[in-house]
Amino acid sequence: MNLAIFNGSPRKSKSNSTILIQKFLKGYNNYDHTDNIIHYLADTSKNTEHIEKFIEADTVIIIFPLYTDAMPGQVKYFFESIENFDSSRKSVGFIVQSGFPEAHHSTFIEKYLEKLSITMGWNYLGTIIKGGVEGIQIMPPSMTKKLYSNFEKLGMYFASNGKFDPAINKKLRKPYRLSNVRLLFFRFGIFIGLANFYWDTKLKENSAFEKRFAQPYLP
Amino acid sequence: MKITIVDGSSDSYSNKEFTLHLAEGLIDAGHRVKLLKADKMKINYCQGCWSCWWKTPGECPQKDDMPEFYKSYLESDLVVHFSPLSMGFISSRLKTINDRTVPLVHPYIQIVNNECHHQKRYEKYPWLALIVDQMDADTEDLKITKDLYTRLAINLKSELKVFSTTLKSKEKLIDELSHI
Repeated sequence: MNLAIFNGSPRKSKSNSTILIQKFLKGYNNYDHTDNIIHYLADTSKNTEHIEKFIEADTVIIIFPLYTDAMPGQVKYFFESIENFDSSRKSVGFIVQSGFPEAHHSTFIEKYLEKLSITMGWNYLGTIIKGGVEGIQIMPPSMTKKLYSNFEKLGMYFASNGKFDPAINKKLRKPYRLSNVRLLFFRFGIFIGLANFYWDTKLKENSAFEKRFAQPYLP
Repeated sequence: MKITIVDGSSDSYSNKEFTLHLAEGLIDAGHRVKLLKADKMKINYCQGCWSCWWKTPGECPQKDDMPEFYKSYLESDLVVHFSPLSMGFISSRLKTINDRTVPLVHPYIQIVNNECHHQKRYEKYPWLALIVDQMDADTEDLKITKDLYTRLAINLKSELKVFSTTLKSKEKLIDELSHI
């Protein structure tokens, strides 16, 4: 297949989306080797090139982080820029990752992506949703092994079937919502400060911990 | 009420006077109104650097016109977003402004409605309203947009009080916005 991947993360190559899509491509390339197919939508100056690559491809995957409950502005800009081109019959799938652990947060943009695909006449390949991705760059390998393995398998399945593996999609969506036990655990974690360990570590690294409750735009 | 209207339409939008007339009507109804037109402001995309969360807490390091938005936003009782719909959703300009609201909340997580959400950074946040020009969008697009804004409002420590299209008369819109 002629696959093009569009990475909509504002952090471009340094993003968590990049890590996940590289694992996907590792699996994909076992079956269908492809080079240089990732395009960064945050490079908005390359918009003309992005449109060309989108039009050329028969299969497209768009990956982005959930930003204020929807797609980042750069991704919406890309959608607007392809509006007037005939892209019907193209197969398009999406991967949405979020910092929030629950998949539920991303299901509202999933409905949008499905509807957009219908409006544009695309063959909608579905949306992979993965929560709890913020922090994967500092997690020990034991904590990310399963996640990366699932994305690799997702890529292998995609190369041979031209669509996402529904079983892996179902796995990645866990937790859909936090169970009562996990909520209790989380509330306790917030109470003792453990739930915000990641943020506190980053704040301290930047000597900003003492200023963490600053209100610079207070009227 | 103190009201900020954020117009996310582009320069080429045909009904450019809509938010101006809305602002005039709200002023006549006794409100203090500030109109921010996104296409007249320098607003960069969010870079995802998280400096506003872990380097300069609460402050975005980008040098553009967003501080004007932040200050007006925080001193308002109601913020009205306006956008023509394209590709079934608000404009990329308005979406970019939404992305840039990240410094207004805290990175710390709290449980709201049994879900993880970010904690507030400020004591008070304005109510939200969204008015859209439907353009060629259908009723499903409108529902999806309303749902996405309802979710946005939770994360902005607010509530979507009004969702409407420009098909509603200006008088009715002003009445609705005045009685949230």
